[in-house]
Amino acid sequence: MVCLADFLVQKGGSQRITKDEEIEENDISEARGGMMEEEKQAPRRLSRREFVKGAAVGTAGAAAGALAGCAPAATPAPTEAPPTPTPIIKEIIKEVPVELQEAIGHIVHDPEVCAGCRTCMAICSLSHSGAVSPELSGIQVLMFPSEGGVVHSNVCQHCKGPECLYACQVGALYIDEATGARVIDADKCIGCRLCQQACPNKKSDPYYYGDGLAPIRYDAENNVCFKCDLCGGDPQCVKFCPMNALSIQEEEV
Amino acid sequence: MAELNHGWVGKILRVDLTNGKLTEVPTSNYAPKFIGGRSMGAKIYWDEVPPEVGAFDPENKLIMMQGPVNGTVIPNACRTSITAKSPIPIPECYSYSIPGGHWGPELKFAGYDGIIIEGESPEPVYLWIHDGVAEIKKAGFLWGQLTSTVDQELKQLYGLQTKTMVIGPAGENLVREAVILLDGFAAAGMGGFGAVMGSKNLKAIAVRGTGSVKIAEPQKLIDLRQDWASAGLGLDVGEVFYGLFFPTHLSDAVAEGRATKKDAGCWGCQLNCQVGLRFQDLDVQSSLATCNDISEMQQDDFFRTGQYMTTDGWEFGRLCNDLGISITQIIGHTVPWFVEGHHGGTWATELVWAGLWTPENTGLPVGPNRNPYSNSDPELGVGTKEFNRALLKKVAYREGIGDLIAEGQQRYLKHVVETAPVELREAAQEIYDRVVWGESHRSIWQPRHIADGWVRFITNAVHMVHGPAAAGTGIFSDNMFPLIAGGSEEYKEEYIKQAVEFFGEFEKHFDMEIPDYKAEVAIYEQNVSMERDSLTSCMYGAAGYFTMRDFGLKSFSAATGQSEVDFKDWLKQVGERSYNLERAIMVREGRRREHDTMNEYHLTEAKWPEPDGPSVSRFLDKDLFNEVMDEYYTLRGWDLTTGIPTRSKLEELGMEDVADDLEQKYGVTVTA
Repeated sequence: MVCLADFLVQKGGSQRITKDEEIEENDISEARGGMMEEEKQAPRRLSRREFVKGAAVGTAGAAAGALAGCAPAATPAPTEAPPTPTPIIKEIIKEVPVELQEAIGHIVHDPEVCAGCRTCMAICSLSHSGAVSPELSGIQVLMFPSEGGVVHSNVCQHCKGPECLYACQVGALYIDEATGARVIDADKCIGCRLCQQACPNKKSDPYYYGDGLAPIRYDAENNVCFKCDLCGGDPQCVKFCPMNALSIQEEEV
Repeated sequence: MAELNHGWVGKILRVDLTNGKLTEVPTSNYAPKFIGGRSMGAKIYWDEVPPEVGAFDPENKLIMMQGPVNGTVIPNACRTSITAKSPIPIPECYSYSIPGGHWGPELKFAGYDGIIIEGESPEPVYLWIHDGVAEIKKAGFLWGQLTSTVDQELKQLYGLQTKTMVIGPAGENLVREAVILLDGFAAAGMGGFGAVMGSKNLKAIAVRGTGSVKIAEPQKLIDLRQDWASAGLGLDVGEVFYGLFFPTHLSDAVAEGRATKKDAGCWGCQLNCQVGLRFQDLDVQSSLATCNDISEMQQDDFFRTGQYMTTDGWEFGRLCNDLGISITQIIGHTVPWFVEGHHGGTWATELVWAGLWTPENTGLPVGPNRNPYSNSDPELGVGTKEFNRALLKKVAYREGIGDLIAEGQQRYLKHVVETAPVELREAAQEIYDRVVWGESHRSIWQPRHIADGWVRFITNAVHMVHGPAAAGTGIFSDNMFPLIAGGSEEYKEEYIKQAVEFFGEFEKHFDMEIPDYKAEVAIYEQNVSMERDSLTSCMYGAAGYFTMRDFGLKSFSAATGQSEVDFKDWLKQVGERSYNLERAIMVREGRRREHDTMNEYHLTEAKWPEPDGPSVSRFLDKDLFNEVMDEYYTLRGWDLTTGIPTRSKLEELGMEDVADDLEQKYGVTVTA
């Protein structure tokens, strides 16, 4: 286990990019080159985000504006021609920042040590939403008594290339400055669950009821999504795990 | 009444299996006067199950209740209190069983504080409860199946996160000592509720909830958990649980690399006391085992091989679970040492010795030899692998002699006496007198070697089948745990210090020769156990509360937002009130002071002759016994001669209606 404080010191001075800055500052052509292959495989990233971001780029500068012309911008720059309705993947990808701030780490779960008591799930949901609900916990643990206590788990990896963040159409997903955690802003979230679908780590299974072990959870009552936010650098699940099966680790998986 | 939506989820599901009718009852009908769990179960039982109802009648109700801190971050807040009329004792009477696992919290997440199951379905059914929706479904394809099969079937149908409550063939066949198995490992072992469920043609209850339990003061509750986790027991999990229950050589299979061992636990547990074994060999069932399970398996093993936890023992435990039968009842009381027979053997060995059991009349592999010093004599048969398995299957499927034994130890031995040949009748009667402690509501376990334990046991509502260390039995003791089982020295000191502050000269409690501090400690412990069982949190977890006496009160207040009262008032309202209600139920079903006793030999014979045995070996002095019991009834505010709660006590606890009902409806004389 790596000390959390070390991370904060190490990462504290590193460059932080907020969403708006990314869009204005990044070299678009570079981003385009880097993302070309991936975008073809993931055409779902389009639609509404395209509109929003396209508009942002359009107002950013002449070069950006020229490219954004192909995109259906909602508020086009005055010098541009009216946007065509054809959605084009490339324009979306352009604005994706090249280098996102990395998270200080992610929660690592040791299934050999874990007893499947789900204390982490109770604490996570209670500390975030004021109610205990395993369904709305950022960490998901499932113990199988019939297999001698084998534990399956899932928790957000805070990926370098966060598909959830790319997928979000309304800018509700952002990167927390202090920890680099990929976080959902519940005020902005419209509950479309595209982030959940985009997540490469959802471990879905047709037999699971509800969202299975997906690390992004859907709160039906408030119609918002919820995920691990590393609790501002002091993950409660790690703190309360009675078996010390949880830790925070730097490397991406 | 205000809606209760913090801590409690606010609704109780009522299932009428006769008409297939499903209704909802607001929790506020009972709470907060009866906060939940065991106390709410007692209240509903008092209101709805009259004394003339038999255990297998459709009018009997299975009342499954969660408490206000169940399913929260409070450690071990996982238990489900099941209340019903038990088919085991003679006469059938009120009982509860409080199993752990993950089923209880799941029910709360599905939107219910509890379920009341009544009536009797015309055909086999199971219940599927998910997010505020309950469905009664046909269970033809599950009927007759082993519990592990049903558990898997339901999880395949409704998702792996579904939690199940299942009965096995034993429950279907109305074996009086059948259990309800939760998630394939945690059993509601007391009371024979598996048979009650079977009598209602209810095979299983599958639950899945994606909802939440709202908390009034989340941060306060999290801080409480933190306090508990850091102060807590002051002892290492391994030290207590594995030292006490699970010898180091856990299994031959683990040692030989045929299986992997793993810790496992119930919802939100800080201790995680279960052991999981996963076998590579698919013929051996992988599962979790609880401590009771393991201690009985040890006996199955130990008497045969002198080794603990062999694969044979493990398989035997799984067989008990699969058949849905109580390992403690069948093996703990039949085969090994727990039940003292006349010559120091068990009743099964005694029957063989007396010539009442032969291979011919039992169809069991019992031998002709008489060996009073060993239960494991292969020629004797009793306690061997073959004997144990054969007996178990015969009982579960009610074949041959199993059909008689399935009626329970008391009923069976009574039958043996009645049918014994004339020349053996006297021997049979001796065994009966020795083993069956009267035809009453008495506990099988009578721990005379625990300072106040025997007082709690013999006055307890439930026909106890488990030992004093079993959680969820209502008799688990705060004071025995750190002092008998171990713990750090500082922790013991702190505990004693606080006990002295609370009681006065608490040291006298441990002097078995004097009557001081027996009755009052017993009453305190009973009230506390009622509090924990009502909250509903695990009594093992509660072991950590010794030095945090008001932990239950604080967690209740933080979870529900109800105002915090003085600790003694709280104990009165939550513990004493419900305990008196339980007593009123028992009184209504015929229990009086004369039933609160032990067999004569406990008062005249030492159990273990050596003075420094694992437990203090002694007999209780009869005068001491009577003195302590007098004090008990006086302090309880119960009538000294009858043991019936007095009107003034019931009124003090806000239960005038109970006193009125006792007098008017049930013809009981309630003194002023």
